[in-house]
Amino acid sequence: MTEPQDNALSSEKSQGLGMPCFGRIVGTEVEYGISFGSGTIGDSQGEISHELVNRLPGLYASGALWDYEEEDPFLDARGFHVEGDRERPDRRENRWTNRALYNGGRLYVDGAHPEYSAPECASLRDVVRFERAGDRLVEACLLAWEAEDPGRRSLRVFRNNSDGWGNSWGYHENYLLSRDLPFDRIIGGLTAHLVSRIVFCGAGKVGSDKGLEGVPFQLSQRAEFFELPVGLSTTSRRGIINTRDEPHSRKESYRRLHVITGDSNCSEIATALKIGSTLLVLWVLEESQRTGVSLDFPVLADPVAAFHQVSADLTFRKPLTLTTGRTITVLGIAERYLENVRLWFSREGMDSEVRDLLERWSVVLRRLAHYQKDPAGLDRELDWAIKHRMIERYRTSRGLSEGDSRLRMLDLQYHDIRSSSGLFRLLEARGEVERLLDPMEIEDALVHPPSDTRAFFRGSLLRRFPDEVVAAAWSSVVVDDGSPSLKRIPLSDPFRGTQKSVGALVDRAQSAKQLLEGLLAKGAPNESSEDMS
Amino acid sequence: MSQKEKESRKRDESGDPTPESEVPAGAQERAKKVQEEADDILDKIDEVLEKNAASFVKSFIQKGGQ
Repeated sequence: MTEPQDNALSSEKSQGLGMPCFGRIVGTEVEYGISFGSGTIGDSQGEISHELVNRLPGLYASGALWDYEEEDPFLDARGFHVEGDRERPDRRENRWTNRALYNGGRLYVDGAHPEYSAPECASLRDVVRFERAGDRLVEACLLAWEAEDPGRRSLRVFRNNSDGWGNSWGYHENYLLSRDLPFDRIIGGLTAHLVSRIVFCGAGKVGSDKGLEGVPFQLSQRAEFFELPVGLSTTSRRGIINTRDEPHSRKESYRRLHVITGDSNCSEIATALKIGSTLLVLWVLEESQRTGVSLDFPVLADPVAAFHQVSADLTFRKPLTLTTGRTITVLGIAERYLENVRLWFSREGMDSEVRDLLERWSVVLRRLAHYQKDPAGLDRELDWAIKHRMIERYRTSRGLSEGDSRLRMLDLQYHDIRSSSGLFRLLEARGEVERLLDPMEIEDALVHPPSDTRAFFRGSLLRRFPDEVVAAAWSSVVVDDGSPSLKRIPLSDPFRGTQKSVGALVDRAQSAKQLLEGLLAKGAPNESSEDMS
Repeated sequence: MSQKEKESRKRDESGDPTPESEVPAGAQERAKKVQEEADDILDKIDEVLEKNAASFVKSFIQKGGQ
């Protein structure tokens, strides 16, 4: 077996992180809640999740397997390895669990939930677009499932993060960062942002999963479920900063920061603000590390308690204590992040995308400060505010008490992904919420991968050669080129394998074999792929 | 950013909202229309909202995830 060398798809040289912000790479993951029309699902949750994934129409994926070879979720960024069984399903189980998508992403079952991992994206617009494409794919599965179910049962699928009874499932963001940024700097610099950003990107929740009294409505679905400032586990004892060190790329150059505190937003604007603000904070952290400039990001004395408190405080006024001993409000924290980031970019220069994002971020914070008096359109942009307004309107008009179960139902159904019954979808269709995207952009993302990351190569190959691509993973694709052994094509650099660099080659090739030959001719001869014999 | 949103931002930043005494004629009509639309949405929500809300939210229990 040979080690991959430079070619069109993988380079030993570190590159790409000096590109403009939205040339940075982000991938997001959405886990869905499911139930029958009665609300129950019980022990069949896992089975039904598998059935759903297996109902994915052939238009969106081939029969390729998911390649687990390079996965290792037990390596901790603090420098140790945790004991745990790595997943290695057999062929049948693999196929039953996974779809490697033509759009470059992955649809699968994680635990007992359907999960969609969007492909790697290099622009905010793509992040939003491909996340919504995931909902559409799951909706297609759902319709096919119902049509084929002999029992004629109906299913509900929710893009949310908690059931109200203390169970949570995730929404994860993944940011590609330079390995040069020490993990301690991430912990110190990012934690207060993850806590404070829920004022604009919380998805809103009726009541408390922990049975807390006097909390009729919270900003965040997820905040209550965090118990540690830092931790590796994603399913219990969750930490605000997750330490999983699984870069799915060249470990010596990159880390993939796995952020698990976020909610599954429905609003396109809230998603863009969530990812965009976090990208800019990370960018400034990384650049300040490189240039040795110090930053003034706030550090919370007790981030876990603060996270819980912020989520339950719709006044944004309750004081939070910093490690300096001073107190500050959550909007004070959010403004300090914005000011630091803005100062950095006004000094270093910014493009129009960064300028627009900073402008949007700052308008939202300004309006939040006066939210109680005048929502000023935030109840058309931010999920928690859209949801809160909808629920309050309904409650007042129908004369319901605070504890009425219809309020919790409105909350759940806000996240129903189906266009015919989802309340967010209803509000959106009626022009009650602001949008970023044209619906056609989303439809395109169901079948076409992003053009400017390695997802282009993965997705295009899967669609172009459905019989020859045997398996796909984030960092490689395995093809059967007709020779006695399978070939693994490494995709170790997320910035390579773009339409610009390999689009023509993929278009021209009549077979995977021809494509491999083309890649070899483009890069270093004989060493672009590993022989897996 | 949508056109609508740009307009609302412009309006927002031009200063204080117009005082009520200066609301031009026809505003009442518009307010009425907004109210009707709001009622219409609530009716639409009623149409699609699960009828068995009480038992649904009680039964909706998921296996924990990530």
